[in-house]
Amino acid sequence: MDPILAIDFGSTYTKAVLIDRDAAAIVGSAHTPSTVGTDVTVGLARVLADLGAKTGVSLRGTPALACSSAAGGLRVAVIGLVPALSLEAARRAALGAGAKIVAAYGYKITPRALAELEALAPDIVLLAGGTDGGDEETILHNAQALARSKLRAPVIVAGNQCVLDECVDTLRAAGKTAHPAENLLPDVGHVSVRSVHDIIRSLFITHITHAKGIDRVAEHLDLVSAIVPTPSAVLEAARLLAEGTEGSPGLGDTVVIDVGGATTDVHSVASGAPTRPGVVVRGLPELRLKRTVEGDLGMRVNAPTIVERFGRPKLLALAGTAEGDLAEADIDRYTAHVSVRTEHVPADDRERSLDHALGRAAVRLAMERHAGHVREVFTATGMVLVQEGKDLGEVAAVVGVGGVLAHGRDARFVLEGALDSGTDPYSLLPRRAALYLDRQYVLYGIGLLSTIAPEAALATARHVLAPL
Amino acid sequence: MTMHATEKNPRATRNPDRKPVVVLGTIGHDAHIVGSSVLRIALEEAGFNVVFLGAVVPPEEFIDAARESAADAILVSSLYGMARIDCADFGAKCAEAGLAHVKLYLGGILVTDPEAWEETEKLFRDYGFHRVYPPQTKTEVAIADLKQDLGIA
Repeated sequence: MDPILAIDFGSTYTKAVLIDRDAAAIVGSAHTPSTVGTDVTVGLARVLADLGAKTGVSLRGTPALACSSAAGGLRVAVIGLVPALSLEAARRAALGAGAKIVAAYGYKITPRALAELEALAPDIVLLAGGTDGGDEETILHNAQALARSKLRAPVIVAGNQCVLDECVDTLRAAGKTAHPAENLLPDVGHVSVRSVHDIIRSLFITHITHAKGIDRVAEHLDLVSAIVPTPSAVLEAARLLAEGTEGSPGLGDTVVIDVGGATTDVHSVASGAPTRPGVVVRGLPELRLKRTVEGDLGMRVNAPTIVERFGRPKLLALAGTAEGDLAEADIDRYTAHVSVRTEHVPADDRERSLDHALGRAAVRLAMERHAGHVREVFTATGMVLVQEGKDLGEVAAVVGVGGVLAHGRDARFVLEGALDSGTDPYSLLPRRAALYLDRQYVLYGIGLLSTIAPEAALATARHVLAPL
Repeated sequence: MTMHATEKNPRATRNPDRKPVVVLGTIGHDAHIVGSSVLRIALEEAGFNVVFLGAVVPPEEFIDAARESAADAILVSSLYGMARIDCADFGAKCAEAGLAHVKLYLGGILVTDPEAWEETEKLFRDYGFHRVYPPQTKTEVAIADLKQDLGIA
């Protein structure tokens, strides 16, 4: 046996999984409530004790990998010029680096917005604006505003390269930490996130895990690589599943959906190019690795907003009311209850049906927003289809993560919400993807392992992902 | 029209090597791309930095791209006779977005009804375009006008 530990310091739970690289199998997993608020190492000791007892393996000296979304996760504020262009590029870059976007401002930042930003105290400010050779005025104004502010977060400057040095110098002269990066939007038709991702990754390691007290776990673990944000570990897992390794093919274009209590996250590894002929693509070019976070779709805290967004009659139909034993009022009563009692577990079949319906609705809405849309445009020469976003029609695999999938009785019903239902001729959702379930919630561990042992990580994923 | 008075120098820049920037595309529900593609090549050869938006471009996307790239001019192509609808108040929209200093050019098959060219030109000048070109205009003509309007030798 060649054991390696993967640990996720989450906001609610500290989770650990022991993987045997030789057998490419999960030896065991454990979770305990997080103790990030007091001392992160207490929860770590508990989860390791639990895992050691379950597996009978002595974990002392076992190499370990770790990720964290605790203490609010990686909180990034983004600033750009035009909301649909440089601000959108900054949003995508931050999300793709595993961040939670706490604020987003376009154009010249106002004193009011600056005060709001100071109160939010983000971990990182990502400052974009202007194509190379394009607008200089806005990013300079915003750099000066940040320089004058009380903000202490490091600022990544990733806008018009003609004024990059001037922005960085302005910030540094005022005592701020400023990191120059390549432009996120070098021209209107290109988004380039690599340089920003590298800087965010290194800031997470050098500053953020320390500021949040998470780096203390290093004294108790044999870490073989740096702690990364949990969402970026999951995105790495998605990439591995899709692309495979040098020696083994992947599944092809892949989507990973994580239905959580507060948010629904969607990760796609696909070009998103049109799968229909004669389609014109509009909008900012999409990233092959795309992550979106739906902050209003969650199984507990945000259950009432799922109902609002999806609609009561449709939800009732999903919950299956052949006997008429459920009414719209039951939906509202249930979602109001679980939004407060977030630890609630369905007590009977009616509640299970409701949870399944809410899960399927959340998956549906999150996928529709992630993918984008096609609309008909009638021109003098006939009809043209205009696509905005990603066409995921040919995606080969959809992987589900999250409590409603792992613990529910009908994961397939929930995850089918991600697929094209056949009712919308212009749907961009997967038409015939295979469905898989991450029943044990180990995808973060697969992603962590993939960075040092991709073959073992892929083989393990094949063992643990359950086809639905 | 007074709203096109130059309130600021669009090419005030920290970058001495900056090429003039023009945003170019086919507006509205118009999929014709050849005309603007030909113009794109000619403009690039003439030393312009072209932000090419392709076809089926809503008016708002021209404005967004011009703001982000600090464009000196927006060149709008329309070849399907619906420019009257797509280009209505384009100059006012630009002014609202802080682009009053940007030169606006329009060319193509602008209207389907057989109006006199002078009336067509007046219509689009009233919509805020500085230059309006009839069908079959040579690219050299528009480029020469552009250089003159932007004060490029």
